[in-house]
Amino acid sequence: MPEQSLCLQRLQQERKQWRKDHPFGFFAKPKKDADGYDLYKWVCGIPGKQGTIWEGATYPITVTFTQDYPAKAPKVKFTEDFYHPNVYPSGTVCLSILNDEQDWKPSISLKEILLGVQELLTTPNPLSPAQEPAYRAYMKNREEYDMKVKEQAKHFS
Amino acid sequence: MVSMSVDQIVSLVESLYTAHSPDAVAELQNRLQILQKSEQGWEIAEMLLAQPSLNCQFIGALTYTVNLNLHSATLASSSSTITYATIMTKLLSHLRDVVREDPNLKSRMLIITKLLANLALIFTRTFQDWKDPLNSVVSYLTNQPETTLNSEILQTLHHKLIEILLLFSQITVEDITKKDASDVNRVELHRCIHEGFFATTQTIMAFAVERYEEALASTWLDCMSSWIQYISVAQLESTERYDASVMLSNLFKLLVDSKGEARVITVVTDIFDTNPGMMKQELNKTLESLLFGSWGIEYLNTHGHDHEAVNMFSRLVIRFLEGNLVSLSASLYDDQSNEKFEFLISLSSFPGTPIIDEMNSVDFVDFWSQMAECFVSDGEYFSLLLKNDESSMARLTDKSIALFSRVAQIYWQKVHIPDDVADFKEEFDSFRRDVADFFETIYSIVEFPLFDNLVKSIIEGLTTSSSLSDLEASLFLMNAVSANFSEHTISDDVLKSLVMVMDSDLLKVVQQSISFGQSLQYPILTTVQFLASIDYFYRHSVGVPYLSTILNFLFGCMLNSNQYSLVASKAISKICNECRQYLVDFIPYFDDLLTEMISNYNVEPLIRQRIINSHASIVQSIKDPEIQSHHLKKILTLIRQRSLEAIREFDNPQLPREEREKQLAYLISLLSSVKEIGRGMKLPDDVDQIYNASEIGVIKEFWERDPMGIHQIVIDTVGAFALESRMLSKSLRITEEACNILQSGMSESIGGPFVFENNVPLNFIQARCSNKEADPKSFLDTLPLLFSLLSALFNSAFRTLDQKPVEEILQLLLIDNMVIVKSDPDILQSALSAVTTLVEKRPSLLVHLPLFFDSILPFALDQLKSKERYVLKATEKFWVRLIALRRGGQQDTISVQRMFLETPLGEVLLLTALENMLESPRSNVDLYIEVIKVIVVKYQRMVKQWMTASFVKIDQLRQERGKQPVPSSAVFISKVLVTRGMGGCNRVINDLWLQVNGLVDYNTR
Repeated sequence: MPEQSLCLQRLQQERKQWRKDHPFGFFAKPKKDADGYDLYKWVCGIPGKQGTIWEGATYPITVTFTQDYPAKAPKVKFTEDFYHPNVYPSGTVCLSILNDEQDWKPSISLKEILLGVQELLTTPNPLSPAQEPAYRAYMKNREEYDMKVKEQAKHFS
Repeated sequence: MVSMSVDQIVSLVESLYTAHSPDAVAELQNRLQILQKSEQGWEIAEMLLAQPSLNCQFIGALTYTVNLNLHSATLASSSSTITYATIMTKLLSHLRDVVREDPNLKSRMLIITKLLANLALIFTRTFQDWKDPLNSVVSYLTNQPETTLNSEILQTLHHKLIEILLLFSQITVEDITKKDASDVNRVELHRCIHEGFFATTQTIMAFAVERYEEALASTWLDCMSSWIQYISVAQLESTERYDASVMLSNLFKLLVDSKGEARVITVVTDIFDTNPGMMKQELNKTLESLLFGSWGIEYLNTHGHDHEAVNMFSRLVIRFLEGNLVSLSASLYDDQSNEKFEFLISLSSFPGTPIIDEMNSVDFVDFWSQMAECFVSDGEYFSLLLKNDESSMARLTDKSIALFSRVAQIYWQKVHIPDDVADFKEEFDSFRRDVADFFETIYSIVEFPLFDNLVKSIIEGLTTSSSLSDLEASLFLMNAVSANFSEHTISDDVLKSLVMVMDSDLLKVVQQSISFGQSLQYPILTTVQFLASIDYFYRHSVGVPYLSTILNFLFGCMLNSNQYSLVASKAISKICNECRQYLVDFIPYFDDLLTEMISNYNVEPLIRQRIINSHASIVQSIKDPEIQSHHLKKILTLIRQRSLEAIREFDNPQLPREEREKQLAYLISLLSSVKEIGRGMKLPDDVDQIYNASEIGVIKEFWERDPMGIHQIVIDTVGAFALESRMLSKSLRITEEACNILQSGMSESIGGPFVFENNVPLNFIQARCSNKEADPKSFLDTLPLLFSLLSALFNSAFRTLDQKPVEEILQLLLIDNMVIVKSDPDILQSALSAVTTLVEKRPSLLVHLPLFFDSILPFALDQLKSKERYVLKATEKFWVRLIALRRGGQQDTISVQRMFLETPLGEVLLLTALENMLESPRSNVDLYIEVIKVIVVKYQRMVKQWMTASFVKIDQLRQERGKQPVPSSAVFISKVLVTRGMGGCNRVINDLWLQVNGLVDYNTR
């Protein structure tokens, strides 16, 4: 068998682990292209938590790993203009466990990342605003914020 | 000193076991803990163990644990009167006494376990001297001199004593497994365990299986399980390498003898979950012959009715095979493996509904997916194994196709949605998703026949009136298989199959079933999703003729049932967006629908917006702007007329509150619909490939003329909502959508219906400003939106903007509202961003204005004091961009430099940055550093003078506040100058911050 890089070995492991044990409602799989699976790019879905304004939809994200993984965190992106205080207009998620200089640890699994992002949906971090509209509404006009999140949920339902 | 008698302590222990209230228990526990930790702790432990009460004996053993941990430092010292050796002797004696009192170990197991745990604790701390505690335990329990255990000695022991030995071994390795891996002695400890303790344990375990298999099975398995965990940890933390073959052979013997008792299977499965490396080749062969041989068959014959038992067996089989899936996959070539694969197929097709009745198929789907991936990814390895023999490879390929086709057939059946799915919908959806992944993977192996089979099942199902549930399963899996199809890669075979589906009665049958309500919801939903997923088909010439039929079907779903309206509108929106150019002839079909969507205020806003966006997407694909204009005028006029009516109703003060809220939602949706037209009309990215130069010229010229007045209709509509209606203009959502509309065409490279002249957004902002007194609160709320609109204008139109309107708008929006702007960090941020955009894109529009120096610079200086990180970030960006001035012309650069050199700006900026940096939390320091660095880079010659003056002022201020002056500021200045504002500057400034704030950076120590 050809030797695999540490990164690819770990990603294979993540794939195996995800298959064995993944939370309900989530999905995660490497992108498929003409040459087979690209383990560096994953297409995933995060269900909004039941009983919250995010429920009823599965939010698509992409998780992109670099060859430095697991030493470096992967990049997690929602679709562009995703409405959430901690998601940049480009869709990139701002979360401490995804930041190499903050709480990223090589032991963090894909499952933990996705659960972390799901948690972030319902409990935004006001200390790390990444986009103006959602942050502003979240801080100042919760009614408007809730309404927009619900509209977005319908869009992704 | 403890002043309690023995009786009092005994009574205290007993009351602990009789007290009911949590407070009383806590109080008693507290008192007991004080006693346990007192100077008489050891004596109390001894005394309690000597009591006849089991409660007291247990607390006595526990008190030993407390004191072993409490005195760990002194126990190891030989000068101490109480050492590990003395305690060990006492504990072993107590163990002997307890066992004597209760030879059947019925009532004293807890006490024995605690005593053994204490002995295990001592062993882990004294292993250098006490090599094999199992021998010591036997010696005490049998009153014989200590010797190395062997089967002869073991034969003399009662099986209950063997149980104690197994338990002790288990407790000891569990204890080590749980302990902190950073313990320096662990490598030594692992060696000691491997050299002595392990061998003795193996002897005991072998004897126990041989002699007392039935009586000790449970304890034996617990012990085995703990050793599996321990060996894994030991091999990770040390260089010890275990050969556990004897233990594992005994485990397999137990597996066979127990006829597959659940616990045995679980422990065997644990090996593969924890440390599959423990399995040597011979062991693997043994297990393989068991699982796939007569034992496995007999097991299934015996337990075939028991879903749990079969599932447990399946999991073991899967874990066993997963270890070497590539070899297993390659073995498919060999006919000798046929039986094995038959066996796996039969396990996967265990009867019953997945999740509810059986979990076998659920577990096996992952297994098959992994195996399929081997065939997709490891082709080279297979060809190496088969020595590049083409006929062998072809045989392997054929057999893999046959195998996965059979597995696919099983899972096609399994993904049928059961009637009572509601209670376990999430679990079943998750299973279906896994099956979908599997189908997606095996398409690379089975290829078109997989798709064809699914299509045929639909066609045949429709002709033989089989259930809609079959149809649903096939469509669901076709969705999965075609996930990666595109119009460029799609084969003719697939296209032909899809034509067969489209020519069939599928849509008719599904359409008819809509009226049956809830019971048929899944076939309908899956059909809609299927139709949305095959956009590659519609984009192909073969599929284009079916587009109108499909859209009609989807419109039917959307209009005839609320249940499907959202999902159908999503499908319509996707198809119209992706296949816009083929749908132009379909535009007339939208006419009535659009009227309904716009006029009926009960329509779900998202559906209204999707349909309007769909129509606009198709209109966008028409190349002739005049025809586009014609369609746009129709719909925009419709929206405008309806909006004016609705606004009139809304502005009526008599309207009841509930009705007003509904009306507002409707109005917002109407304005959002205008935005959706803008989105739909957005030019695709590859404009140059769609239009040639002359077409671009025609479009530009047309929209400059705008003969049908489209721009004006949009502007008037926006105005009617956001400016003219007193009530509506208060709504933040309305202003937001108005700004979105005005911005929607700003990034277009050529003219268009939503590409407005620069004065349109400027006039809008002006109009909102001129009306601010009417409702100051809503004006404040909308300011970030207005600044954002201005920023977008600066960003897109900087080349065509003149200085005069820029000055006027900044005066009106920023300078005249400075008090309000400063009152809110969000407004501050958006205002700074707008100004920074101008500095970035075309500074000449800004830096020569008097208001820039007089108002904007002091404003930006002030924001360096902000405590809000995002305001600081915007401020940092402003100053860095201004000082660097990358897009500035010569005059701009001179003008800015003069501000810095000929006014106190440079020094004041540096002072403000330094002063606030030193006071700021660590997380904000990096922002100040960027400002300081850029000053050092650009104004190197002045930095020393400015910094020296700054530190004089800072020190003065600090002294006034009772603080120490900044230490070694002169050295700091020299260091900064040496770095010339490059990378090293960060370190120097960071160090100063740490020093001033009395902190240490542990990252660098």
